[in-house]
Amino acid sequence: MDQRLSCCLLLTLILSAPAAGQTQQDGASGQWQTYDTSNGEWRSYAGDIGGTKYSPLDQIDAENFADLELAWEWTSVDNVVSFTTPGGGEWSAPLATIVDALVEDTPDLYRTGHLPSATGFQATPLMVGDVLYFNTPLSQGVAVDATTGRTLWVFNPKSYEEGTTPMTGTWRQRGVAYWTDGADDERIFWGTGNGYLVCVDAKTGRPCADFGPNGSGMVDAMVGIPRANREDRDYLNAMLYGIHSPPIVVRDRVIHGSQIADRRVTNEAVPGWVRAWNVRTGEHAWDFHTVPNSPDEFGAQTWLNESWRYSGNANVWSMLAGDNELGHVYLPTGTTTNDYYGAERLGDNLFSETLIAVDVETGQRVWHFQAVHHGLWDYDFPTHPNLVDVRVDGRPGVTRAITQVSKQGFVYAFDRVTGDPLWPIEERPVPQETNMPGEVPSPTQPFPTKPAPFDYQGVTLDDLVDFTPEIRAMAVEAVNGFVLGPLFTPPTRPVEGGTQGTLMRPPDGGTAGWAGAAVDPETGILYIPSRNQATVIPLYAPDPALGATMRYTHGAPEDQRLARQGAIRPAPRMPQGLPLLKPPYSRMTAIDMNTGEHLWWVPTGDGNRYRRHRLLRDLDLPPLGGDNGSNGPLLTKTLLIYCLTAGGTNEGPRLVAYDKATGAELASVDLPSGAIGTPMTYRADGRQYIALTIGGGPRLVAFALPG
Amino acid sequence: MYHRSAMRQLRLPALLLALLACGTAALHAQQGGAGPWQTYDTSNGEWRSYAGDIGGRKYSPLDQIDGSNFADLELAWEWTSVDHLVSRTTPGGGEWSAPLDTIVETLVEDTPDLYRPGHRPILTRLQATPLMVGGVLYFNTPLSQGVAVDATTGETIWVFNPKSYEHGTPTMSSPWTQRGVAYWTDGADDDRIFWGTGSGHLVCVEAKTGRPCPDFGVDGSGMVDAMVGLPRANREERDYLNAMLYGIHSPPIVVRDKVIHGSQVADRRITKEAIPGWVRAWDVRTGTHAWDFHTVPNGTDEFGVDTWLNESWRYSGNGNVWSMLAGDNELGYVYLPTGTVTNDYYGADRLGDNLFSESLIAVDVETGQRAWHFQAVHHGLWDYDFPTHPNLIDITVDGRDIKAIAQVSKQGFVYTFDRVTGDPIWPIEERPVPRETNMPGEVVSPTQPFPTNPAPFDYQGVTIDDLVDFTPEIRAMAVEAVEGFRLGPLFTPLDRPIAGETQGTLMRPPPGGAAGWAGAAVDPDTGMLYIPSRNRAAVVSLYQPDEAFGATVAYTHGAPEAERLAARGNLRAYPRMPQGLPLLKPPYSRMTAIDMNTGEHAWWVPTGDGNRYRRHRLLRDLDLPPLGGDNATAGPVLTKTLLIYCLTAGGSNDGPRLVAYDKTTGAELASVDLPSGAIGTPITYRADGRQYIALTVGGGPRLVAFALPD
Repeated sequence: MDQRLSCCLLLTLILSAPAAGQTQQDGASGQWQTYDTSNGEWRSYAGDIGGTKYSPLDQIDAENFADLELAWEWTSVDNVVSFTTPGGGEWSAPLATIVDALVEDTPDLYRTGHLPSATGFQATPLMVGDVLYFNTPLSQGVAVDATTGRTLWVFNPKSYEEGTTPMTGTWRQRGVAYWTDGADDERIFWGTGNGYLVCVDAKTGRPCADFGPNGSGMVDAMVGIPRANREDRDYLNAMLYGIHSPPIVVRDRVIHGSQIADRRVTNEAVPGWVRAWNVRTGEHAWDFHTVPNSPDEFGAQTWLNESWRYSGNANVWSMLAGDNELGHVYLPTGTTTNDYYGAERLGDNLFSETLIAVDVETGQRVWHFQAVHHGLWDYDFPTHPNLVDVRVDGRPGVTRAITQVSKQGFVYAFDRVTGDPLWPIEERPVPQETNMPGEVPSPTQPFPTKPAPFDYQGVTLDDLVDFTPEIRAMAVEAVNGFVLGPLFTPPTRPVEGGTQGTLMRPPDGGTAGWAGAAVDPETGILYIPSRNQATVIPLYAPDPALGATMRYTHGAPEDQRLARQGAIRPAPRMPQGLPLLKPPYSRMTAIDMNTGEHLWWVPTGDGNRYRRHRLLRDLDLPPLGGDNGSNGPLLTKTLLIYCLTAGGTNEGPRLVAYDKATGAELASVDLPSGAIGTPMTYRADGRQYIALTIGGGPRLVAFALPG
Repeated sequence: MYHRSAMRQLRLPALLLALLACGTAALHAQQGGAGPWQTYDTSNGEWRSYAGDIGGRKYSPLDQIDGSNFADLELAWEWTSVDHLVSRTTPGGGEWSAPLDTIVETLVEDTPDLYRPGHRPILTRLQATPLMVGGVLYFNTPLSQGVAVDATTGETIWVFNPKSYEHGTPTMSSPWTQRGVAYWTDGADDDRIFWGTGSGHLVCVEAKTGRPCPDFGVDGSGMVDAMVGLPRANREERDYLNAMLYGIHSPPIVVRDKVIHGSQVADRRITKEAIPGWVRAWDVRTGTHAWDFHTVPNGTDEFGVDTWLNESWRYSGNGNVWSMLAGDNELGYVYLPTGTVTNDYYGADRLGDNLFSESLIAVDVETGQRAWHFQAVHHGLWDYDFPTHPNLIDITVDGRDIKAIAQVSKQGFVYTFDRVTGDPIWPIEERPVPRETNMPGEVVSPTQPFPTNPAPFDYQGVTIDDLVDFTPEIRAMAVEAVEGFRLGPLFTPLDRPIAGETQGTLMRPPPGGAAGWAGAAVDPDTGMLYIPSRNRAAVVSLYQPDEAFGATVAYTHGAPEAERLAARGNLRAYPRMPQGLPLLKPPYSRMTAIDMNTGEHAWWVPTGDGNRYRRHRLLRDLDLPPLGGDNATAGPVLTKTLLIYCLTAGGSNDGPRLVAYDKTTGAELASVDLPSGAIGTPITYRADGRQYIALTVGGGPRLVAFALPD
């Protein structure tokens, strides 16, 4: 592979792109704008709509990274929210006070233990025209001056007045989308925890009067989706549908996925259709049926017994990516109902756990790839794909590629025009044995031949920690009774005197997560943070008195109750917080997507929280990793930037710069509190900033070099 | 001639005497015939009412900050006004917050004639004086938002925005002004904050949360519409300036379990018909209307109706209390200092003395009945509204203990009474005053009341001798400048300008007053009254309003017509001295201390050196004394140890500062720079063992708090 040639070609492409003008033409569909980082802005969740998380800025580099200073900090507006009073006034008070008043009026408004909360401030801001745009856990949209952190506007759709958002991670939002007509019309879009899509004027924050009904600037994204009833609550008293990841703007469509409860006691669920709307009017453009809706739809035959009629989920809860020139939006879907028990939905279950290329104008499928057939592991695609142009041996010229990292530790790589795999992906036999009644696991699953997995998959006895013989003996003892096996070993339910369940690695949280990966358009190198954990899914038979129509399910609060009774044992327990598995517990991997070869990997952090253990502190251990945050990496011209939870002053959290070519740590600066969202970078008034959300507020903070 | 202060017979009911005997300052619960009520004062280091206590003393017993450490004061925190970012409810039920101007743009987009031209909502006049109760500061903003702020950190705790600015422009020349809130508690869990809005609502919220009290007012709104039930008050109506007719911008007062407020009623009118400025009282718990005091009568059998010839009470208005009230829980009195009636300077349509304009009225808070009253100006023609709350002070005069009330005035007098009976402490004499005027149909009162003691606290009237005489050259300029203007003593009637005859009357004190809304402070330990005042003169530009605007009054004054006429040279606003030279002899502002036990002036000092005058080319080489004129419009605050007052100059780079004066001599002891000019009157309080001084300043606007270094 001639890396240099590839770079030259890419440079040519970059130079010919109209970076300054931000306008592109397409003979077929007319004019649309570009959303990327080429002018020092950060116009889409991942910098650009291709999901690269890359900015060409270079003011901050290895030499000066350690000099970074806190330029400003912004404390979340969620801490004080408002309530419209009977006299038409607006009452602002601490969130807990307002929530008390709401609960006073409607005692059963919220799911128990899940009152509105400000802490899950996972957003990555956009930066356009020296203004940062983002949303908060309470679904408030905010604009902040990029140089001072001053609040410019807030729009509070008061989504929390309707009830608790679906899912385990309630009350979080990850960002917004920006659209402009290239002239005066600039809009910010975001989804709300209660399932609305909001559109406001970017300059003022005022809901766009021409978007949605009655001048509201909002559309109800639950309308038109089967089994989606706004008034319904699930057995946890949460809403059935919400939006918590940013929409994406491709050409003149705004497209979004959804959050749909997957800890359910019913077979019936809302299908996670991906929805597209006209950016100007809010008119519904199309839905992509990730679960078919009639017998003649493509994939309906992969749902035996017409189980598509009631099954749901298979939603895109993470982020989307798109390609303006191709007119594609790429949908990385999740598992269908139920996450771990598929007896009520036998078959491959298209389009669950699938990457789908959809024509943004028509909503028609261009190509698709299903990564998990008949999913039983909650191996949702957890993040947006990464679009990168590469040169691959055996393929003529430049390939417009798409790579998708996964919970299961694979990178799936395709030609994004056609969907052809860059390297063969083989269907290989996988374990079939399970004690789940009626379950029929898929006989095979797809295995990429390249790149190699970026983290551990499956668990054998050899994978157990062996720092000392004593510790290894503890680990062997700890896994006694659990089913061990390779990737795609089916889950088992705990049986008295029998199995304790299947030890699953990667776990349902994934080795890659919503933080995703970053890719360097100049080199074609993909950077993937991942973590090494295992878990056991406590499957149980839900009580029909709760409205259960499903034989087995998982998740709170029932499993917690059962665990307290000792009826289920959640995971192998090592004494005193010792790790069960061999290190590293988290890592960063760099893969050259021109060749599919791993270039390097490094543990992310020294893992002192493990090393300080009484039984380990005298051992000569290498860096163990495990200091990873849940947030993603950021690439610049000069650096790979990532947040760690430890290693700063007093072992506190820090922002770390890595050498892109070697993975060597170059410098770091303390974070005032642990990172929550993925960082982004931008230039304003000639100064490069790095901004991210952190705890202790929560806050949005911006770093820059001394003025 | 008859003595006009009514109710002179001494009436001190046995019940009240009994109450006085058992009253205790430290205990915050008191008993009366009307049941238990709480005390609102400064005795525990709080600041529970606009002027510290409901007696209008502006006094706190705190002493941590004193003459020796005052210069060490540091900015403890600052709070920037929430008016910067306000919100609007959107059609989808969301709440959109954006800069004030952006929100206003959209309001105007929806309702193009919503606001008076040139008077869209603004946030600069943060004139409020906060209250401090339980470690929390409570106040309101120019947009009528109520706010609670942590007294030690300045952190916002809650905000209630009644969105009064969505109704239109409040009345008067300075719309978008609010001066503070009132606090009430039942002594247990029920704590409430009250304030009036620019749109004429009275708001009641829970002090702890800021939530409108659902049991107060209609439909759980926590608000009552204070325009309902007032004659000639129509919420939909706008005046010829396109402003609302009625609003509230001074704090209500809580006396016993009543919340009482005055009002803002437009006085730059072109009609003789106006809203009467009745003072209104409401039940603190329910918002049920308790009583109105008719400052303009409303029936032929009401007291004072005979002072309105030709039944002019039927249409006349104003006579409102636009400033602050004071009260006495033990007596159960609220004291109403009223203003001029319609029209401020032209009385031909309301001949007679016009009770209860420009009067101090003691009203029984339980019944709304007048206990006594005193009219300070008969048939007012000078806009000599009482501009501030009275000061309640217990004094000893010639060996006799008296529960007194002192009222400072625009006209430079302190009027002093027994606050139980209304008897003047020292004689107030009716003396003849000039009657000549060229205003058609005007009948000037032959006499006005003159206190024999204390002496006036600032200049009154203008003679040639009062003109500046720093040098003969400057004096000649001043003599030249007043050419054509009418000079004369206090109460000289106004003339309208007539070409070749007169330019009008040079009036001192001017309508802005020698004393203003800043008022005075009084020391309960010594009986000393401290009055900031200013020395200015004005000419009121009277003109005939155009009937095409709907004018029904022959003469009036004020914007925008007067400005249009002035721009055409038809009116000359004021004698013009070259290059900003002063017209009158100094000082241009002063602080006066009067011992209310004797009525004698203890001392007076100019407030500030007046460098802005002294730097003048013609003055800078002269050996002039301090000239004053650095006074802010904010009032004084007294502590156990100090008299504290804000000046606009004399700090670093001649910037604004907070000054400590010796209470016994008026000597300046120390000062600290203010980050920007003071707007509202300061307060002081103790929180977490630390004494703070807090006040509103510009450049934000902000509320700032000073304290000694830790």
